[in-house]
Amino acid sequence: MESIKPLRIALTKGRLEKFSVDIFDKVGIDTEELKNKGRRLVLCDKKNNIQFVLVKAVDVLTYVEHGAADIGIVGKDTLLEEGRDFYEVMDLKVGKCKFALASIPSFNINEGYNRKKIATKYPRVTRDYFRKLGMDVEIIKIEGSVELAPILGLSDAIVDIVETGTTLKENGLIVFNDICDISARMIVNRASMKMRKDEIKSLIDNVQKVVNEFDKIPQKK
Amino acid sequence: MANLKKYIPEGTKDILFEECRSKIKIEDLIRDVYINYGYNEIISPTLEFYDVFNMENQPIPQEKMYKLFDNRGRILVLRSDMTTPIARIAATKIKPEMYPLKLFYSQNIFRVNEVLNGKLSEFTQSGIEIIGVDSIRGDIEAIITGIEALKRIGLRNFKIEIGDSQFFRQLTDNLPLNMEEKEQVRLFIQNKNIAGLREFLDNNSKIIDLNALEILQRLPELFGGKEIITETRELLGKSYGIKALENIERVYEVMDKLGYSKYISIDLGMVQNLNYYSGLIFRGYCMEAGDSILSGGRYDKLIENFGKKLPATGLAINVDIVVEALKTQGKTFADNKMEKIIHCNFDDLHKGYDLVMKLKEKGTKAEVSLMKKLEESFQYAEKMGVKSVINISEQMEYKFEDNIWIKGSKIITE
Repeated sequence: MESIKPLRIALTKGRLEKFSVDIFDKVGIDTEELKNKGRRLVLCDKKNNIQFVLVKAVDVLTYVEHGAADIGIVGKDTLLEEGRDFYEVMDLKVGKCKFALASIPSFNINEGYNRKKIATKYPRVTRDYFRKLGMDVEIIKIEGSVELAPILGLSDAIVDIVETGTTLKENGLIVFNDICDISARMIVNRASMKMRKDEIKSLIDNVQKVVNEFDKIPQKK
Repeated sequence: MANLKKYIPEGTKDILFEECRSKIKIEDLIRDVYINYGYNEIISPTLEFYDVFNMENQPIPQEKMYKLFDNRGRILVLRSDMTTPIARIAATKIKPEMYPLKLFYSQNIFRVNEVLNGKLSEFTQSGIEIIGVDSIRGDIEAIITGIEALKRIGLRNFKIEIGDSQFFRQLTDNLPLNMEEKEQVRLFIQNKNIAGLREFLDNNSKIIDLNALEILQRLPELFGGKEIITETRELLGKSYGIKALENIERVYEVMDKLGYSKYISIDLGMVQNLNYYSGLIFRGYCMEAGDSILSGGRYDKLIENFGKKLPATGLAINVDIVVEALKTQGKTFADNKMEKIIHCNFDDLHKGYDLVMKLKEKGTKAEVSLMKKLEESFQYAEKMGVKSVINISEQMEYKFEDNIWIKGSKIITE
């Protein structure tokens, strides 16, 4: 079935944006508009009949789940926190970082009878982690600069994304436990995967080749 | 507390005019197909006891059900799926002399969704259930009826995907993995998370049989057309899942002979709701819809929960999603348009209604204007796109031509 509808790819704005553009560039997709986007929200590669949209991470999931975009590039952190319904087809192996439990050096997770307070931007990841440990904690949702919470005494520890650890170090916090690794993922809408199998499959295969090559070269931070 | 008098809850909608017309028309057309294929319509209560839905391996988790209490404090739910009530009915209310029992419904389902995720909490399913047939004849009948219904409403670019829940189960039955690990594998396959699956299998490669390992690894990619059957057969060799594959092949062959293979695709990695479905599973997709338009499968163990062992299969069309998809495809359903508007004084009202009935007998659609003045009736007619107004007191028909109302012919209304 030949379709005139362009294949729509939702990219996560910000940190993952550059990685995604690099990969699609290598795949042979025209990313000229993506690189010089100005204020446009929809960027096209007319030759390959592909449309890119740049949105916030959580919105990538929403667009793909509803089929408004066929494919999305988003961090595993967002996938773990949101847990929605679509295919998670590939680990792009870029934008690597990890979830970690961190706090001020005097913190001891097993000390005392009080329920520990954990500040985080990721309540679901935090809840799942402590459930696995069989611990009952109180979760406090913080929107940004989570590192502040234990310093100011709002919480006992934090669960957050750690990339290089610099921010933690500069604020006198240390990592107590690594929770899990994170990297960018490619997700696909369930109906799109079935209705446009050939287009999507060949895109996945091409991206996979690029990812394998990239993975051989050590990543620059 | 904010006053919510003017609002409706998230996940619900008021369905008006064009959309309402399409939805009703679509339901009617589907109903027509089901009746023609020999199904009997049933209506079940919107409220059921929670106990009806509370069973091992329930398909809808309890946090997704709307619950309330009756006057004796017992838990009620707004029905969260239709197959379970039908299983209850089939086991407790119907004692046919002979099976199969072919039932259908077109009813609303209620599910609690996460806030603001844009999904409907109340939606319509039109579905069929075939009870008392354990062979794939039942499944074939269900798929054909489903395709016929989708064709009848004029949907284009759709595919019904078939898989078999037994396929994964047979593959993993003898593997030395615990329940949790199997569930993990299932989730990787369901989400076509090839990287995650590979990592898990690599970590467990020492304990998993090589042949099973290879098949499991390939499972997320085993979807597509007929070629998948051949491909999988080579992969399987003489091991697991052969029966399930045979079922799929036989269904495919019938569809092919019917000329319906273009509507069929195969996904052996379709592994959702495994504890509920016990054989073939179906899912319908359409180019213009992000969500599935149809779902179903064989559920031979469900009716047992209500005290009778009966095999069964069925499927349901998600009417609201199909309505949207048809709209995107540009399909519209003809408006029930008025042809004449009758204006009359209060004293002549009976004559007006009498005329409406007479016209209707002749096949002309007319309505009595509720306006007091002839001018207002003209305006109303213009707004409704009706080009003829009959004024009873003058016994005169007015026509709308070149943007003005002109007297037409005299008519006898007595």
